Amino acid sequence: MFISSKEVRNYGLISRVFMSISIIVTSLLLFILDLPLNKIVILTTLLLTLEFLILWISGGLRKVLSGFVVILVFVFIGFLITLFSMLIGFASPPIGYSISSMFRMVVLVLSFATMVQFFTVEEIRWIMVKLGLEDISTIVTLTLSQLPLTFIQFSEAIITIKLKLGRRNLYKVVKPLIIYSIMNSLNLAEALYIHGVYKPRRPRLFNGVKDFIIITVSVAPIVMVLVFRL
Amino acid sequence: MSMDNVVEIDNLWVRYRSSENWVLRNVNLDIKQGHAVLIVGRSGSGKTTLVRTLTGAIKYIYGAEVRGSIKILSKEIEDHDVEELRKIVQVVNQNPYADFFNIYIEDDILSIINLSNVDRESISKFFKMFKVENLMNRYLFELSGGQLKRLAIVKALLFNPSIIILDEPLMWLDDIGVDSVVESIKLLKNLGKTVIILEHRFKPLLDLVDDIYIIRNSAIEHIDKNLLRSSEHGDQIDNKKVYTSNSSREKVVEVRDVWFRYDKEWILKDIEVYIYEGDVVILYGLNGSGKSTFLKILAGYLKPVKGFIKINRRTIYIPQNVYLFYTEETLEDEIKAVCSYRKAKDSCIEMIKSKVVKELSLPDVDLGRTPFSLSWGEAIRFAISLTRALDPKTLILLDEPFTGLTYYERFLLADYLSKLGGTMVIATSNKDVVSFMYAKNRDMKTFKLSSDGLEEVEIGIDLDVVDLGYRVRELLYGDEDWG
Repeated sequence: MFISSKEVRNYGLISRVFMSISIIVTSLLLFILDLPLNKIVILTTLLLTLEFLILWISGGLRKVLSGFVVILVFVFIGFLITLFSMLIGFASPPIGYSISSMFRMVVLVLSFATMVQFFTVEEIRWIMVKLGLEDISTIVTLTLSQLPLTFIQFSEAIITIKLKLGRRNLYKVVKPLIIYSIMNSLNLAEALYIHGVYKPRRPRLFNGVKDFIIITVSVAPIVMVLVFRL
Repeated sequence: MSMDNVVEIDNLWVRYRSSENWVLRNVNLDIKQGHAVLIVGRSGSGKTTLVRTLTGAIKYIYGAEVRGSIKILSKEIEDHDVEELRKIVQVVNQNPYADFFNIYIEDDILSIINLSNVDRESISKFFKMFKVENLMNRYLFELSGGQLKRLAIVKALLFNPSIIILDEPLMWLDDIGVDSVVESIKLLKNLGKTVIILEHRFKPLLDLVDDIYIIRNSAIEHIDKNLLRSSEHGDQIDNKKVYTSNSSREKVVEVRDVWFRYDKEWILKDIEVYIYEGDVVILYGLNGSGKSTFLKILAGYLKPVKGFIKINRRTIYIPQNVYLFYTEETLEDEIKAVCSYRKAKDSCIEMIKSKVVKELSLPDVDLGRTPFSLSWGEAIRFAISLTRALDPKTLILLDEPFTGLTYYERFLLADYLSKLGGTMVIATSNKDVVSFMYAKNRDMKTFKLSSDGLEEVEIGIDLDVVDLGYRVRELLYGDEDWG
């Protein structure tokens, strides 16, 4: 989820920033603007296509399939909510409205997920340093680099505590994990002291014609929103 | 003091803020340029404190009180600024993941190369020498312990330091990883670096180092290498295997035709094994061979793609990082936690207390201690004891329980596990463990897990390593009674 493929570097940083911002802004506008249903369908379809394109670039078919799983989860939740509201006597919303709301939510969630997929940790750090967030960028980089290892410890703790104290006490994994995190933080602090915190390398900002294609495609949803509003 | 000493420590005393006791007392140590020095000591003896002192981290990170003189390249450590010290002393951490700042190896290493004062030709030579050029395009968590340690050594070399400190360089490594790190240390010597190694499993390093020091009772002393070399002692151990028939014993674990894969790669193929009541099973395999995966399948956490598994026992899993087992503030609370769902709670607590104290041979054990203050070996033994006291028939799954232990602590743990009896599966990537266990339990089954599957094997026993258990006891622990 938080690990992008190195393939994303085949595209310049600026085109990727452009595309991510375009998708997030348009996803938010879908909630803010009062657009008719048919236009929402066109825009959500376009945004979903772009999001799947990013998933394809950053991880191939597997990530695209993960994206579909996200959609299915939302469909299931939407279905349960509708069913529950009907059972307790509320009038169920029109089916078209329910489906469009669900897809707008999917588009918004995927827009943030794809943004993380579209940049490497080093690039995120470089952007943050350029924005004057140097200290936070160090913390973010360290967090992202240790996250997979923390998940491994988490799964180990889950197995251990489940067998030791039973399913009902799984919440107790928190304590050993906190202790692990403290010990690991001390190790990291020591390593940072020894190696120093070095500046991130400047990423490639442009990478030729491919970037222009990405930028052109990114403009499409914004232009469509403007056309629909006018 | 000689001019060719790169490290000169005179009357060093160190204690942490939270403690009244001095971890290091009156330590005097000179290390010559280009020498490889091995420092041994029991867990908690102060080895890591010495490393922190040599890098200055002891003051800046831990705020400890330091008295005495430490000269690095004839200059007091306090007169070096941090940047300058980084170019003289580099450390390869016990935990190799901590040595990398970025999740992509390439990003991490290239950022250092940009700052490095080492010429590009030497850098590419280091990459070839340490066989890490193919690892650049990988993620941090994709690499094995041995690969990470080699990369961490190369990363340290990019600062062109005179001194490289290796803190437990063989920890977490399998037998192949050990060989690759030992080769790397030889290369460091050839490059003229001064190498300071702190290691429990020092046998593979004995021919490599120039001097050996021991930290005992907070002080350091030079010891003769021959004290740690093998003797005829080991040959006295009877190595005749004993076979116990399975026919009269109950089948505890039945595994047939089990297959498991992560993504597209098959990790376990057609695994078949039967474990009977009282069996001690060693599951030997290199890192990545699927040992932990198999234990997690037995623990019920992972589901195999296909196959049949039947376990008719309460099962307990003790992870590689044993401290993940502990969830309570004190050892007494740990006992209360495992008894909390019993009908006769009070009698359960009393029964476990008496059994744990008896089993661990620690009559004056302080149950008010936090489990996180136990040493690695103590933490494993307490976890097992607690589990078995509740139900002696529990199947215990241990993932690399011998990691991070001195030879004597290994010897003790093997002894403890053998006396305990019962059914257990011990996963390990080191043949040493097989030797220690075999020296104590001739009726042990050893399986080797590899890409070809699981097969019962007889692994050659290294009696020298068992002998080291005795020798280390005398050296590190003296007359102390360790049960």
